[in-house]
Amino acid sequence: MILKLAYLNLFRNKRRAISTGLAICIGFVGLNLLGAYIYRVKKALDTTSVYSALHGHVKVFKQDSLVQFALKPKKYIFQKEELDQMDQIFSEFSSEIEYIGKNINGSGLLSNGKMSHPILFYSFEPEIYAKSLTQPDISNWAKDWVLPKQIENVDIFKNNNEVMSVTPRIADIMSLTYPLNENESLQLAGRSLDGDLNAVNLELGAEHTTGLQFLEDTLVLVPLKKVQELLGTEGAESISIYLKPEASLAKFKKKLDEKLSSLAFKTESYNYYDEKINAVYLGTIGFLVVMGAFFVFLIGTAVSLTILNSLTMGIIERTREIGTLYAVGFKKKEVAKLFILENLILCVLSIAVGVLLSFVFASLVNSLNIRFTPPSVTGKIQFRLVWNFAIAASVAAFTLILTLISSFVVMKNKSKIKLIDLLNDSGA
Amino acid sequence: MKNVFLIGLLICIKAFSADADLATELLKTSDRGRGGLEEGLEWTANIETTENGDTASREFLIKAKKHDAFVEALKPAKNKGEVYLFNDRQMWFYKPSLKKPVSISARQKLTGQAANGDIASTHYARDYNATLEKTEEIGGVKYYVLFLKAKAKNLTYDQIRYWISDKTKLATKVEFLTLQGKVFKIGTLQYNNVLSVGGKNIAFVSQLTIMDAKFNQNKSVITYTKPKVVEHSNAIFNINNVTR
Repeated sequence: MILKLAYLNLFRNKRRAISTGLAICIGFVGLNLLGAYIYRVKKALDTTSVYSALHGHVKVFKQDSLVQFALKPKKYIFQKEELDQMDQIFSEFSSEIEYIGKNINGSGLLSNGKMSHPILFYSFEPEIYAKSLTQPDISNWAKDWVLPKQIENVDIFKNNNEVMSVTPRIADIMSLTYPLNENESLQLAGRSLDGDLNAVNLELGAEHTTGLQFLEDTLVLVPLKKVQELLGTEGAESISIYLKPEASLAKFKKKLDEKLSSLAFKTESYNYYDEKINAVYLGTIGFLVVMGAFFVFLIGTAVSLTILNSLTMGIIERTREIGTLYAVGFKKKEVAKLFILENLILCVLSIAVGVLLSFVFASLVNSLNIRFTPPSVTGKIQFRLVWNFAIAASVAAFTLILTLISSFVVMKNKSKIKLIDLLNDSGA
Repeated sequence: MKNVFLIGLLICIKAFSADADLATELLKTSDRGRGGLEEGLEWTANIETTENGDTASREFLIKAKKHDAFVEALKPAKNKGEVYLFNDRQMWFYKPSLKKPVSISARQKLTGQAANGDIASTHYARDYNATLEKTEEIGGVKYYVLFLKAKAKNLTYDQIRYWISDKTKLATKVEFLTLQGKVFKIGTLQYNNVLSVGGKNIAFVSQLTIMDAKFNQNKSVITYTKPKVVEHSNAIFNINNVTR
């Protein structure tokens, strides 16, 4: 009966109910869309980190390699025998691991016979590169971070182990002529594991983007075999492990670390989002979380104040009614429940409208294909809002709790007024 | 009063200019002991490197003429055939398997503490502006301490402090400084080789030891042997001929 009464009471002051409901609805839509944007960015970062940057879900190095590899590569590289031992361990996780790749990163000079340009090289196995770039997640979440040509030529490294990939910016710096031709050779010079200067021939043909401005004039992609030839090794600096979708990253890493600790050489593993191997990820997510928290505070405060104001006004207007309810036998708790229920029903209705509005708005924004350039990112990316049920449910729960608390606070204060004072109140 | 001031100023300028002239002259003379000659030269350099407990040895044959040098790796066997070519201030690396030569910097590490630029002949008088910082007496011998500042950005070092003996007019100690003026490498030189140039015997560098300023166990010892005056064809210093 109280529920029905509460529902009917909403229509007694329609204007106030609509304005309060609108405030809740706008707050809900705002938070929901903010969540949709953060969700999209996080998924894009996850995908680019794991697949386009070829980190894998978990990356394994020799202990202290992150700091020491550049100084003492010979000591911190995984030798072939060590890689074989690790392969045996990885084979025990076949139900969780989808595939594994080996990498060597380093610095050197890229030369075209006339000039040299200092670069960072990132090496990979051609099969792993092709497999990673054709993952469905790339087209779903990170197609703006991959050049269309990369996808078209995804097998280029498999077909030709001499080919390297440069960014458009490096091509410009080195005056390379388009279309990048496999017949044009470049030389990659660097220091071998013995510390000697060495150089290898490479062919042009592939192009990529790092997605990040500060790396766009520096990073080249080179097949692992060529970098091994340059360094004079059969080893690898790190191993990237790509997990199956159903695998739990935390559980897998824990079990893997236990197994790796039994090896004669010490290793360390990192999740793809670890600050030590992926500072951009943490920096971007950290910024978005702080920004999101600020907006949640602002919107939450606005919604809360609207409810407090609306409810207080309602109680002031309805003091005689409250007094009458007490006089006919309603308990204070029941009256408070009535008012709180009124607000909760209003909140639920607003959320329902908000869900619809946020979905429509997100679809509209996505269909408009608005493109922008985020700070330090190369090229434009689509401003996409990915509506997500889990986010909508979380924001709905947050809004309901906020409404409940706001209503409860008002009712607790007003229920202290005596019955005689309520009945004598003019309602002014 | 005005005239006195002007005369004082002229004396100061003259003294400063005399110091600068002396510094440049000392530098020119000392360069001769490190291959800075007009004549064609040839010598062998063996570099023994100790770094973080590891040791390595490399040997090069250097053919130099004026400001050009052709440096060929002799040992170890895996590096045989590698060539470093110095064309004035431009430097190239080439090995037979490469389709094109690689333009490299004189500053880059050759091996251990030795930079690419350390291996060829020295032309500090051409490459650096010298000022006389002070004079010092070491073991009863007067030394001029010169401060050298690079004239161009692509030189091996930005700044050098150089000790030249008044007696031999040869440099015996060198400090290599960063752009900020911090010493990062220290070198000592010995001149036990004799080179016959135009009928005159001149002392020629026999050993250059370059140590890390902070970790002096990390060092490279370059031993120079068999120096001689040889007539070189200009063609060997042409990068196009090297890659053919």
